[in-house]
Amino acid sequence: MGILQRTTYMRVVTIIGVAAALALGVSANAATRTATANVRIAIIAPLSITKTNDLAFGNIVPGATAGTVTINQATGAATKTGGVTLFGTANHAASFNITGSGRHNYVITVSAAPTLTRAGGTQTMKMTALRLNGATTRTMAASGTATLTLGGTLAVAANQVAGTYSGTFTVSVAYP
Amino acid sequence: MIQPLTLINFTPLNFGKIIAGTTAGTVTVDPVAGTASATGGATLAGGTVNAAYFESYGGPLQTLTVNRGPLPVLSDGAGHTMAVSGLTLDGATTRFLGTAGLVKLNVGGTLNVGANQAAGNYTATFLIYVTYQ
Repeated sequence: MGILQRTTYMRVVTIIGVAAALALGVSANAATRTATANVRIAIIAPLSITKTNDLAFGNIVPGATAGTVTINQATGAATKTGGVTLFGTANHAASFNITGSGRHNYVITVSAAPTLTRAGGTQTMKMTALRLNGATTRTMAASGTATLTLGGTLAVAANQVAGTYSGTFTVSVAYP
Repeated sequence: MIQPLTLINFTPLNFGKIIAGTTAGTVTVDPVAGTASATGGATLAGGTVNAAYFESYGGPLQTLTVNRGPLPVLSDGAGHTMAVSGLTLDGATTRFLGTAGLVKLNVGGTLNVGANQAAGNYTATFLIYVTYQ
């Protein structure tokens, strides 16, 4: 006598659901279980930067030969080369105050060294270097405040026309 | 007789680190991808991001309905708060326990970040319910 076999296949259907909004539930009966989960987020302070001092090359007497004036980015001290004479104490480094989230890294970006233009005229002097007082990536102190200073080098032509020369540059800070 | 039902939370809902901006915004954690996205004045800034993870064990072949408690309001403990505007599940709110009697749940959500939200660590808790149908 043969054995009759019948094979039955069970089809497994997987339903992939679209993410659903959870609704406020009513703790209805003894067949309900609950679990508590924590939720966490850290808000960190945005970075801000404000200028506290311009970069000042001070008072320069040009000579019959070209020269340069350099402001030290850390000390603000002025030094010169070539046919230039410095006088007075009006020179100082540019300085900025930065606030942000303590212990976070931030990145400093400095624009190109500017060209200075004489007020009321067209004569110019080019800054050949604009220097930051350290690395462009820094770690904010726990206090959430920091300062940075800048100096640079200015090229002075022979017999540069007298006057007040100025230009601008920008400093930006951002979280990496 | 139906096997007793249990629900266990293993991982919190982590929104990561956010830089607050001068305008309000939102942060959303996707429960399927487990990643964060931001809108408006809120900017993502790394940190730990993940959906909350739960497991529910119960009678094989039973069906569960998943609900939540009230939407949480996160606080920094210094008087600053942020409200969660919604919690989302990684699928339908009706789940089949299958032959293994196990359901895995991931919960994400959306958080409202205020303009100039005060810096700090904010926390809260929320409840998830599972019920045999």
